[in-house]
Amino acid sequence: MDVAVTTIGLRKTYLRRGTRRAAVERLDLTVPAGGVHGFLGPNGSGKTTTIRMLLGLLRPDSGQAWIFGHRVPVELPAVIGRVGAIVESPKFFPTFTARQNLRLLSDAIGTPRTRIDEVLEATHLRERADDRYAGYSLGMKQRLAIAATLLKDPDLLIFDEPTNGLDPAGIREIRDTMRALGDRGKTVLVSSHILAEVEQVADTVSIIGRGTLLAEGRVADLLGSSTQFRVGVPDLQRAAAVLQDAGLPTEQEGAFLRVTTEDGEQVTRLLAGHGLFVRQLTPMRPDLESAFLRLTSESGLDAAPEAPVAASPDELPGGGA
Amino acid sequence: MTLTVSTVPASRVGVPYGALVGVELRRLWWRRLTKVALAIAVLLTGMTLYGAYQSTAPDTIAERVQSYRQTVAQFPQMVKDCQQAQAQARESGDAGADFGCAQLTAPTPAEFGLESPEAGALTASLATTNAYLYAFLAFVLGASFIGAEYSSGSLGTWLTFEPRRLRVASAKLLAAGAGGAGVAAVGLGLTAVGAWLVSRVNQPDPALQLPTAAADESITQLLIRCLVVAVAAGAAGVALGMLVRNTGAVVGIVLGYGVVVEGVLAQALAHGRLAPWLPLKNLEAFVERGSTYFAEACTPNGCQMEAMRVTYTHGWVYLLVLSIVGVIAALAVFRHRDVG
Repeated sequence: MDVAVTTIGLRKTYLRRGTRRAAVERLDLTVPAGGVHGFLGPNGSGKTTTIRMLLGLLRPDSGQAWIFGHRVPVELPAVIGRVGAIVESPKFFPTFTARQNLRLLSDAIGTPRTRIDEVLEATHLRERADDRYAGYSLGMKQRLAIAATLLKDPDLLIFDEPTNGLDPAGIREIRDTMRALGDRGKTVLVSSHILAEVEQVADTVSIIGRGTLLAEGRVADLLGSSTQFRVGVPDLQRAAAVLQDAGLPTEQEGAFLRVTTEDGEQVTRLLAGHGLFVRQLTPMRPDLESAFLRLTSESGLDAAPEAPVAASPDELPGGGA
Repeated sequence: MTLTVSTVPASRVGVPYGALVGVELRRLWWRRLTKVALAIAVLLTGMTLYGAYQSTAPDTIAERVQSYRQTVAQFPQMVKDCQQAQAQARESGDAGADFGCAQLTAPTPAEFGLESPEAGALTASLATTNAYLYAFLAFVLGASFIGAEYSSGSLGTWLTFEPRRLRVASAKLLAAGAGGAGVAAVGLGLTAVGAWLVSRVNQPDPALQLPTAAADESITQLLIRCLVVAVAAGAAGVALGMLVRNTGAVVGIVLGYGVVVEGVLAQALAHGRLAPWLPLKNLEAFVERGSTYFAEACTPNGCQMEAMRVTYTHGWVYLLVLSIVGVIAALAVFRHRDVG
């Protein structure tokens, strides 16, 4: 498997009110090259801190990170041309126009000026390109940030909470954009605390809590196969008895039955054999949210208070943000 | 979004350093504050030139000539009155009374500002005064140049395009220095042209036979020193901005320092002997080729305030060392500090 991003033992602590607290705690992360990789976790779990460390904006206390095989931040200059990133909210000079902001960035990396019009066109901003950035809506700002990342034609795109504050149309647009980039062979690393949103677009995910990796892998593998079905039949009592007699754990849940089995066909066959015709059979597929809650519950992260940590011996000075 | 962009690859190794400085200069030029600083420099230079025009205008000269002539006519009587008063004092018992009548000297045209305005002297006088203004504008421009990047968060975006922080920081320092030079060059150019015009327009009546004021030193050297100060001030603004990360705080610290430390504490503490180690006093010594200060000098017979001098050499060496230390500190902090 080609790997776009790897971290080993990445750690970052902050000193707050005299106490050192870990934002990222020995994080081992692997992002496969190509496709969309969701980087999931609740607010404050260390997603943005990790991304900032990958981009050289924060210095890790300890641990190592690589992007396309280049050690970062030491070799970041060699690989930064292949990386486009939006960290948290888009950040540009508010009194400059979109075109001016893009031109500065474009000149900093030596792309031809024609590229600016191309990315403005691609993000539907060309008509408003000469308006000041301060006057842009949040959606337009987000699109400008994407336009900026496209100036480089990057192989790795890092989107940190890209749909924050967007309306449903904007969210869908961003989601489609990420999917399209992933389908073109780009690696898209998207962090989000909205699990349902990433579930729709990601091929693989990493889930972190309190700065620690809880799970990673293909979305389908993390979710597991469907083991429960919601069954709608006219006579719930009799249907429950039939299924339980067949050894299938069954519970009534409102106007439905919840049956635990991996074989939906068996349910319909059993009930039909007793003259009970199923009007609804819905696989109850676990979503990322329930997978995440299960993982945090198993690791005790949902209840444990945030604990102070000891400073790492190889900690670098000046770590406060 | 359609994402139908071409796949023209960006440079994977970054642009040459000169191009990076060029980008920073472009941003500096696009900023509103740069235009405001230029406008202020032009406006205040115009005001000082107008002041120079007024003080050398023929009407003003004529009034001064009249005043001078009256004083010359009254001078013998002044001496006589002084001697009489001294004699009376001695007669009334104070045998040692000395009113300094022997030291009274006849008034000179120069004491009444009666000099034919000369472009070089006018330029030197105005440039020396205005140099501090241009330096302050350059400083604010520099502080705001980097402060805006911190306040808007765009520094983080910038570093995802050019992560080599020493290149980034030094390009900003150079651009701000060049911006400071630009503001000062406009102001000093206007000063020189304006001073020449004033000297031409306000030529006094030749019959007055006024002496011509001459500049004490090379105007070119003075203008170069003023430019150097503006360049250093622009870079100092960026350097302090990198350390403090807020334009308002930087300007506040510098103004507060100027008023509290150099204006009050330095006088109150050590009986004025701190003056040679204060930045603004050394700046004055550099611009004006030396600066006078008063400090307490003590001998076995006692202490008294004496006029002392910060030399030009002391001034430029001090400022050079201060600038090097400041820039190194700013680069080190910028290189290592987290960007939030």
